[in-house]
Amino acid sequence: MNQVLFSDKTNSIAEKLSILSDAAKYDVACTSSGVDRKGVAGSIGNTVAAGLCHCFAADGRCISLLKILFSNECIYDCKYCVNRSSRDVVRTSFTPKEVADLTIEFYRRNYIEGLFLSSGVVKNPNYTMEQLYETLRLLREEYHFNGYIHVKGIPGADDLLIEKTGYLADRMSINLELPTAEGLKSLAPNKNRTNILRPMKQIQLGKEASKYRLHGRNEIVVRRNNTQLAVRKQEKLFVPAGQSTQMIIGATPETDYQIIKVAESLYDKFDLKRVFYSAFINTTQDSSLPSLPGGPPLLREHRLYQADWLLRFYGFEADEILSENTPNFNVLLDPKCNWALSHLELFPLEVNMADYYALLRVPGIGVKSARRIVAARKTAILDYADLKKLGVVLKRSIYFITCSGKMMYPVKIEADYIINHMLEIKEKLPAGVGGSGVYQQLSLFDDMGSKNILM
Amino acid sequence: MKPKRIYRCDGSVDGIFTAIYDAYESRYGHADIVITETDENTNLELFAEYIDTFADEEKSEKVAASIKTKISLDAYEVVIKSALSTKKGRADAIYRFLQLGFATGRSVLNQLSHPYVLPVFELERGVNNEISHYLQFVRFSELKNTILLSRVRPENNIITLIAPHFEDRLTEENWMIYDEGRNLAAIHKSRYPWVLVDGKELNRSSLEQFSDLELDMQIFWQTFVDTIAIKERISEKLQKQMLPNRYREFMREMPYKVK
Repeated sequence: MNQVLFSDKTNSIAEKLSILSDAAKYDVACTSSGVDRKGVAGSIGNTVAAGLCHCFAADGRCISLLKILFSNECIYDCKYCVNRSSRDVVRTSFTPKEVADLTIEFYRRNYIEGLFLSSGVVKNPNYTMEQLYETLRLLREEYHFNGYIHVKGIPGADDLLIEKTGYLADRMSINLELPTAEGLKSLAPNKNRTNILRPMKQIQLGKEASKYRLHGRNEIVVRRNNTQLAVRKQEKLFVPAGQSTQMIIGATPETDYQIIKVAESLYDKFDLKRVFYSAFINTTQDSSLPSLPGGPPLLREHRLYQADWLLRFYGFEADEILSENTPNFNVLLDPKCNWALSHLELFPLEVNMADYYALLRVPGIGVKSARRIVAARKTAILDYADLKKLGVVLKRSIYFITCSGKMMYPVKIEADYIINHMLEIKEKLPAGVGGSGVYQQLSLFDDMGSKNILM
Repeated sequence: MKPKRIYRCDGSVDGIFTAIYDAYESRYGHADIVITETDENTNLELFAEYIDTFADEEKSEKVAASIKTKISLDAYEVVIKSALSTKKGRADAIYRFLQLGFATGRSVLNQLSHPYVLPVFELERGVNNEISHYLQFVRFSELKNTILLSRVRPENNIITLIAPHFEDRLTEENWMIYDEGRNLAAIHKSRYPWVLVDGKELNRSSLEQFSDLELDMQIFWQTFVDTIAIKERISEKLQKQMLPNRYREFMREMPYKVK
């Protein structure tokens, strides 16, 4: 690599980096997960399916990727965005080479897992997408970078550009911005829902097609199941880590029920890997935006992520978690506890007999401990001491389980009784969301549907 | 009554395996044997017979081979990782685990709640956690001679377990991970397999001269880490929870308190 590259314009690079990372910080999808790729001689980098966080910023959020905007110039005027065209801020852009050099140098030092490249819309969507493509091409083809790349698709860019970029990236995402079309219309007048969903669909279809692709672009052949002795060298895959999206929570008046319904349909219909929720932070002070005197709605964001986990890993459906009648989360109880309390007829559950999916629905039992229970009970009959060793949170689960037909204590299976005991145990919220009281103190009179504790 | 026998070993993988070999060979009876590490600084027991063992490669190989064939390769990995932990009592925990393992075979790994299995799993979990943290928090600095150097001070002896990750990732680079506490280094030359060397053979003075680009990069990185935080959400507590002080010693971008 060229050593004098940065020396004469060090300052300008540092300045650009500071402006363009500052402008990118509200993007939440900083994960490097979803694809396992070994290193290759002659190139730099590999990827790990679980993802790695290399640092944690002062707000406690993980830094996994070099998260920057290519440019903070933008032709659009979305009311919630720090880079909206009517805002008076310093505008600057990187060149593809600058981004590629920074990525490689950071990557060599194990600062980052790869690149997260987004951009404001410069001139027009196609021009911007071309710049992003060029950066990725430089990294992949000339610098032989084999690490993780997450790139934003620019809504409105040409299909061909999106496709070309998809073959170079690990993950591609298009921001849904706001949960509903009405919200988008009111706050982002230059964007429309169709333009956002179209490339999403395109990526989904492209990803499915690349599973079957063997020869040229036009010829689609179903890959034979592993019957060949020698598998031919794999062709480049299209967006192997899948696509994600993010939406802003609390800028528009949607209910939690609407939001998780949207998330569920994105998982089902668009085969998304992740939906990210970002608590709204009022940076532009636009008159049409809500003011949030209590700070960003972090508890609500936390509850949405909890529900999201239930959708993805616990076999729940959105309609089980919330409903038209109780459209918002309970502030006091996590969504799973809440569900269990309104389905007491299913409990208690015999730990030594219940099937895996039933175990997953018990508060205090997670994916890991459910798996361990299933493995351990092959050779032993489990009692409460064993469950504790396997990582089950007994103080939550004792109301819902039996071991060899016995409950741990004589407990009434009655909603009021359990709630009273549950509320005594402090829920472990991440620092900053609840317990520490920095932003949001949990209170009985919170604004998020706490009127009836039990739905 | 038979007096208890206490086998002492040096706490390395070879040392522990040798002690286990000797304990089995003595046919004294498992119930009356305990294995301890010499770094375990406990009071000597009365009415016990102390036997010192010395790491022997041949005996150690035999134990390793038995674990692989009589239990399973997965069990071998679990045992090695527990042996590389620094927790006290690991030698005895492994000894007990192997007793059960040799009796039951590969299914021993499923008996998670068994008192002979659980301690080994806990040791392994501790080591695994530290490995995953070090894969994330290791920092390389570029020296004048373009070698990438990383200094670490892990609790468990894990540089041999993290080196393969970096060998795969940075195949074209010359790099070195140096364990300050144990004075050991994993060294990798471009396109060659990594090797473990004793720190005594290193030239310390050349390890402190950074390349010109290095300082710029450190500044850029610092800038990035500082600006990426959202000030409305700042929470030092959460940051500390995710990235505890013990990992920060060689991370220049993070505030670090010396104990």
